[in-house]
Amino acid sequence: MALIFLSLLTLIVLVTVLFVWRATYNHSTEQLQSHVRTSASVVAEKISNTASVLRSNLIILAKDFSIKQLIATAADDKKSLYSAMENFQARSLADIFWVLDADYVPLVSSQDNSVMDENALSELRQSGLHWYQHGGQFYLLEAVALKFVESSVQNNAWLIMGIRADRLFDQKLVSLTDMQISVYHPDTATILTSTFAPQLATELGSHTIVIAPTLHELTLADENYIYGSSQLGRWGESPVYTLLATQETKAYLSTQSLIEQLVIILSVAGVLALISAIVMSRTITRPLEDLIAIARKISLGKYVQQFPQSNTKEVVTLTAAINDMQNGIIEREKEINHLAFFDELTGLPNRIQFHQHITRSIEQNIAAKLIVLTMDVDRFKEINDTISHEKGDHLLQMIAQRLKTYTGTKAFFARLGGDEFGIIIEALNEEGRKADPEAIAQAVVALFEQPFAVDGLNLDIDVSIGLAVYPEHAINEQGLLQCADIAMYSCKDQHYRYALYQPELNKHSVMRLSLMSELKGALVAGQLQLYYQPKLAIADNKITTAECLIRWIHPQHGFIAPDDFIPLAEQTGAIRHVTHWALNTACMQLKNWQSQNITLSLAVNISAMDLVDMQLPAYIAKLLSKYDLAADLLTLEVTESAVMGNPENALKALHTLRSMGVILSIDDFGTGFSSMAQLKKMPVHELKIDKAFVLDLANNKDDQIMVKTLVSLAQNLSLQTVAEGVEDLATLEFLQSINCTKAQGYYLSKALPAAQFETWYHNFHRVEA
Amino acid sequence: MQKFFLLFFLTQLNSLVSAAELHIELHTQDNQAMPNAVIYLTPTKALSPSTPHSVAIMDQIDRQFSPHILVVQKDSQIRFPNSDSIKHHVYSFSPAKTFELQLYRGLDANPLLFSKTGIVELGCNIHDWMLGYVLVVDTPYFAKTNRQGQTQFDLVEGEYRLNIWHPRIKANSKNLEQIIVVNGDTSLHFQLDQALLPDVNQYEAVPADVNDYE
Repeated sequence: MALIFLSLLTLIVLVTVLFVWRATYNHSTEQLQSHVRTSASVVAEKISNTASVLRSNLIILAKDFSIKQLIATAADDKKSLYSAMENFQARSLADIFWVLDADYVPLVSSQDNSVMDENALSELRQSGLHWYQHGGQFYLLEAVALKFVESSVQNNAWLIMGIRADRLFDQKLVSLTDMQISVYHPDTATILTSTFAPQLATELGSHTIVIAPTLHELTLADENYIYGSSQLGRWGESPVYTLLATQETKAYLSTQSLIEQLVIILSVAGVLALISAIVMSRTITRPLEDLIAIARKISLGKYVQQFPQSNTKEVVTLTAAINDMQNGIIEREKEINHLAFFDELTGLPNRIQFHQHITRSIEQNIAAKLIVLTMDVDRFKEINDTISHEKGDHLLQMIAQRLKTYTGTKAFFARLGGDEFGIIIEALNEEGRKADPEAIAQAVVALFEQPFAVDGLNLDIDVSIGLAVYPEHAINEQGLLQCADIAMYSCKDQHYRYALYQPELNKHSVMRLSLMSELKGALVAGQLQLYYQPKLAIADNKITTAECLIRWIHPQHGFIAPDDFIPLAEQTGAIRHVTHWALNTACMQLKNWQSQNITLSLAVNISAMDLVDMQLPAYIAKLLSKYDLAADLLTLEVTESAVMGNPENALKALHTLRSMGVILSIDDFGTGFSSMAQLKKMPVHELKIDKAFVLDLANNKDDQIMVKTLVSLAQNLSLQTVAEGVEDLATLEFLQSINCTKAQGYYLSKALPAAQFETWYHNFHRVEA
Repeated sequence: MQKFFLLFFLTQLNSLVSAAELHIELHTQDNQAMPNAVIYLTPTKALSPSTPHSVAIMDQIDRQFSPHILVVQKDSQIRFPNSDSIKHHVYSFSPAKTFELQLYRGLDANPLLFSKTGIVELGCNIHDWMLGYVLVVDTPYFAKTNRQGQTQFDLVEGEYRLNIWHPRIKANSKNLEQIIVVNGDTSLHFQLDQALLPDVNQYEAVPADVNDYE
């Protein structure tokens, strides 16, 4: 900034100096020209005057009777004439004279052997100044005719007188004109005379001299001279010039001193301007630069406390404005921060902050122990649907309040979204290290012992809590949350209130998650197959039915047990596709076997979701008509819990199916908690006794009593019974003894692919037959 | 004056066997009549010497020589009376007659003898403008042209050298001197081949009808 200013200033100074210099130089040149002209006039005047005086004297002399007499008698008496002329030459302060007769023959002369020819004389007789060289000297000559009788038309003699040129140009004239004067004859390049010192005059003669109205330069003895010229008479027929010269330094002295003064003034002005620029820079530029730096900091999100101090009004105003702006940004940032990091409903930190908190805690306390809990409100959707969303929100708020009453180790609560909450327990100190995650989980669970009063309703709320511990389970936020989630889902599955993460859970769950994403593709790709396990009609000792069991032969994982993907498919909703596929495949197989005269009915497992989905009856009707099958060839096995989940819809669906003629069976009977009343309502044809009661039936009395009771119960309700898990003959015989309708299990056969099943089937009947 | 000429004339008549009238007309280069020019005729054959008897007058009137040009035969006397009330200092440095009549008045000065032919230029030392000429010729036959540039002579027939002179006629003009033969009445016409010299003081501005010689 200062540099630019300085350069600009320098430029201005240079331009100014240049212009002033040019102007003054031109002015000086004009003055010098004028001086030369004036001096030339002065010199010309002086020389002309001298010549004129000489001429006047000559004219008077020419009229002198005595001279006339002396000339008239010169033939006889030259000495008298010579003497008289000498006397007159002295009077006229002249240096040379001639007296010529009418025929230009010299009568007397100051010079010996002098010849003055007619031509020279005729030149002399013309007006103006005349220069003449004689004997190595130059003279200013004047010639006057003498007539014996004045009025005569005839000249009788000539009087010529000359003054030495060097006498004309003396130091008086030099001091008068302030110039060195030289007389120059261009035709012969001769310096007639000069006021310069002899050696300079000689040097001048060796130069090429320009005769022009303008000024010219030449160098004499290493000194520059400016000179001008002006005509002053003639020598013979050619003109003679005066050269007026002055030293250049002298001529432009005023210019130089003016420029020097100007440079000094401008330099001082420049320094003052620079100082003011620096002061300005100090008072404005520097605070402004500071403010710019501050603005940059603010833009980077770093807030500044210290603002530059300044006395300049503009800077102060700007400082205040930037301060206000920063405060505004801080204010808004706070708001945005709150919106971004807090849950609006509960006022708790949100998921983002929860994540950040974990990350920060890990970063700040790398050695500490960190317990992360994710908590899910059980059946919140149902509660929400039942008591309205508004009240559901109110409940969430109350849960948040309740969480805040936690008094254990320092805890960070957050709402992760929906009915999910997160808790971080930072076990920083030695005591904390000992903190038992399960104890903490129990403490949290304890918070929910008291029911929540929502608009006069007392709601008992259960929660599922997953726990993960840093650094044991995971060393980053994402890992910890995943672990906690896995633990939480696992405890949901197992109906525990809380679960601590275990690596197996993860392995399992990771595979499960990945399987789910593959399941749909697997259906299309034909990775899933139906295996058929025969059911023996005990009384007839005939295979009348087979249960369809889904087998997934995964290209990488190989055989995948239904338990590993069916529950998950139920959770994700993929089960519908699986059920539809199974039904379709079963119907296709039925049709296939009908054509082979294998008279069988097939049982397909139906999940709770399939029941709730009211499309199932329509789909089955479509299949039956498509394959032209009797409805009673199809048995649907439904678990107790499937019906319990949404009994209303489930029953509706079951009734529809029963009315269609489809055989309905309750699977895993005995493990659920179905009430007898409920069972009575169920429009089913048979009960399928869970294998838990059958596997050890031959030896276990309790199981025998249980199964006998169940079969008896079913008979009383006009229901058929199927026992699964029959693995030995004793069991089968026992079942026969208590009139159980059907038996299924490894004693007969494990589930087999269709082709093998056919072989087994023919084999069985051939043996039995 | 008239007396002198009459006498002269009679003498000629008497001495010559046959007389002729010579009429001369002189013109300038630009064809103007040339007045006051002196024309004199010198017989080529020697004449019987005749001495002029009378004294010629060169007067000074109103600070001018009068006449401006005076022609005399050699050996004539000329008196320089001073008709002005002031003094004059008449002089001549001409080789034909060098003289000086220092400051005089009236008839103080004695007549001077002019014994050499030639032009005598007269001046006054105290009046630079005064200029007069005396032409001394070696013949009795001389005259000045009138305003019409004419003059005439009564001569004995014969051969003459004719001269024309005037201070304004340049000396190097042609035919200023020539031989003529007069045989019976003759008219001659001359024209100058060169311009006249400047008329310095307008000496020629004489009254139209005055002829100094008549």
